[in-house]
Amino acid sequence: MTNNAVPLHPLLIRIWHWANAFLIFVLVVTGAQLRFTDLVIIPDYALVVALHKYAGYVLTLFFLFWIAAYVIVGGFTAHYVISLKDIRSIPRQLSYYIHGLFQGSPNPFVPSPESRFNAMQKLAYSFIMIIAMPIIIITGIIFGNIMDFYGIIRATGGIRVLDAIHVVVGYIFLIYLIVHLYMATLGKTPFSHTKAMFTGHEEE
Amino acid sequence: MKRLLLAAIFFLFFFPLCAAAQECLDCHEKYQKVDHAKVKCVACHSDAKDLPHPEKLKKPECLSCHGDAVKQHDASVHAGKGLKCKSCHNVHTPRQETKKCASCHASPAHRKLPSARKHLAELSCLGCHAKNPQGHIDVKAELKQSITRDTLDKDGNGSVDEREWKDFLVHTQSVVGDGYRIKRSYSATGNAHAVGPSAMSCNGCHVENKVFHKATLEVNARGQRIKMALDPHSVIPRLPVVDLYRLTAHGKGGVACADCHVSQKRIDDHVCAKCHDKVYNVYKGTKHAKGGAAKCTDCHDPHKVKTYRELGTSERMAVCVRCHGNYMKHHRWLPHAELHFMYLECSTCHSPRSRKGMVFNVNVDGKDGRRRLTRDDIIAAFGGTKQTKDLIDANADDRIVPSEIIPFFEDLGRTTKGTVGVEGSIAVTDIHHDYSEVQKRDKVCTTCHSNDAPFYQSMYLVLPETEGLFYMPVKGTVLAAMPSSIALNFFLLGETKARWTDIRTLVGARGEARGEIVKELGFKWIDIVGFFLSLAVLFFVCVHIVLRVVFKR
Repeated sequence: MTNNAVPLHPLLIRIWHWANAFLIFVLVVTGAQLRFTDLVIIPDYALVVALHKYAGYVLTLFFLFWIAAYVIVGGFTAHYVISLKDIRSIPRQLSYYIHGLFQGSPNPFVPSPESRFNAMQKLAYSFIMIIAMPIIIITGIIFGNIMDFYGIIRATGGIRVLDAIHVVVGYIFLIYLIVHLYMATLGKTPFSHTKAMFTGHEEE
Repeated sequence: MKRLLLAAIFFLFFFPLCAAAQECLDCHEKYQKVDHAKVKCVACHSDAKDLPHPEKLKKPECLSCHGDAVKQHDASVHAGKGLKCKSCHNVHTPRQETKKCASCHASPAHRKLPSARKHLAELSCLGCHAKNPQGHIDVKAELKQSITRDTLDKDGNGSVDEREWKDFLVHTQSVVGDGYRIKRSYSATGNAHAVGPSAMSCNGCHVENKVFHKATLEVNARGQRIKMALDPHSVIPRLPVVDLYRLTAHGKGGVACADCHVSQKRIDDHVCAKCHDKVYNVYKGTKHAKGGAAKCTDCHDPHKVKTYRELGTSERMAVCVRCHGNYMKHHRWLPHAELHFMYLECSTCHSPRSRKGMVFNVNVDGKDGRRRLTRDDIIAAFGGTKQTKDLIDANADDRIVPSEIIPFFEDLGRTTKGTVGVEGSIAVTDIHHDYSEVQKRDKVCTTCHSNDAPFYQSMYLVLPETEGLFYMPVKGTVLAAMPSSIALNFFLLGETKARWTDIRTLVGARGEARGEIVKELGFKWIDIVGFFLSLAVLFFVCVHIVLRVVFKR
């Protein structure tokens, strides 16, 4: 850690992040195999079902952990709630990613412990954590306990509707993951953001 | 009362003639031994009152004394055959000379009577052939062990019903062992003058209680005597209603009761094998048959209204579960076991050589609950001029494709009162009766949960036709193409997942055909859009990386 490193990510959030990252990796891999059974990544199908199911349950626990972490460390509103000022800054931020970055222009957003995410990050993260994550968790829990929710499934159009919602959100997670992994390389160095998520400090 | 009155009239008016009866015998000596309830000659031969009587006397009328019997006889099958009173009764000595049934019917064949020997040994002729026969059953049980009244009459209502009787038999067999003896006596009789044109039907005793209204059970256990009423059906086996039997596959095929019930013994497999020889030849070598675990009739009820094809998977499972009740214990390895058993039958996995299919039944959920789609629903939606098959199979190629399914169900959904729903199941469509291939029992999920699952090549939509149901083969996807207004009750999702062939078909199609495919893909669009969107994002990321490398950022 250098002297000019900014403390950015609290320990609880870092723990959650890497646990979440591992679980989502497992869920994407097993989810892909469940969806396309010809794509054999793990030979034992029953194991794939079990891994997907229980990784999902652990992900649910970590989602609750994430909520608890923000209750403890605070700053949820500042990090996730999008303000008018954020919306106005989107074009400038987008311009930086498409154009300014290649010209060597500085990133218009400078993260701080009080406000870690730029407007586009806020938009993506809040959508993922507040909308997508609860939807995929709820549909996943129903999938894991079909007999308990049999009546609800029938009433809402059958398993194909539940499956459609779960899979649509699954694709959203996949696309988000591709973008997220790539954007993580857009720091001062390709690995500075990743390093910060381990150490908690972002080098300036 | 009527008879008393007649006797009084007879006494008052003809008493003076009684003394003169000897006068009759003076000439008619051979009637010395006339014994007709002390009725004097002139009671019947009234025109012989005054002597000397006319040479030719009128024929006596039995009706004057035996009015009821004569009327019953006149309405009987015997009167129709020309039999008179004297055909059976010697009117001068009726007590000594009255014909029995066997006098004319020496050894009736009773070919159509199942378990004929047993029936004929227990029942009198009139028990079946008289009109309105009445009977009673006496059951006597001798036990070597004592028994309490509560063991017999569990609900304490003073009589033993069918369930209590079965419990008693189980008790005697399991507790008393061989130390018991049960004797059943059936007595039934009826009016000999009122013999019907046909005998009491099987239903009279084996479905209803037309003859044996009462039964009495007497248990003697080590000096203890318990006597109470018994439900007659406890000792008269219940048979399926004959009218319903006519609706079964056997009934429709013209199989008569006696074709199978050739003896009083329980039907064995050889009786079934007379017609079902191919199936039996497979089955007789299997573990079930060799071990004596199950006879044909243990699994198949030939009196059932539904054919095996018409049975739902849960009904088929119920057959196996009668013996394999602890099946859940053996399926703990199976994810969503309970759910699987709602849509599969045991043979789906445990008979590897059976042909399986994805069978879609169409139901309607209305105010009165769920019912199967009927031909009337089809007529209400499309009119009655065409058969259902012709309505859905627009191009008449004997199998239906999604482009035919979609408009059919859209129209059906609009006109049918209630919600039209499709209920899927993975069912055996052609059974192979060998369940003993233990090593081949399939515990591999991907046998079903894969695009290559065999039943995707064997899908059927079950629809009502004027006469019964027909299985319409389906080509292509059903679930993905089914309009969203149709409720689907099926939990296998393979069909809604896109495959490479779908994309190739979409790309290769032109004009109207492409429009049809776009519609048919249905829920598969989620995969197609998701996959290509992910690829587009990945492409954009790659372009970004290249630009960063170019600009050294």
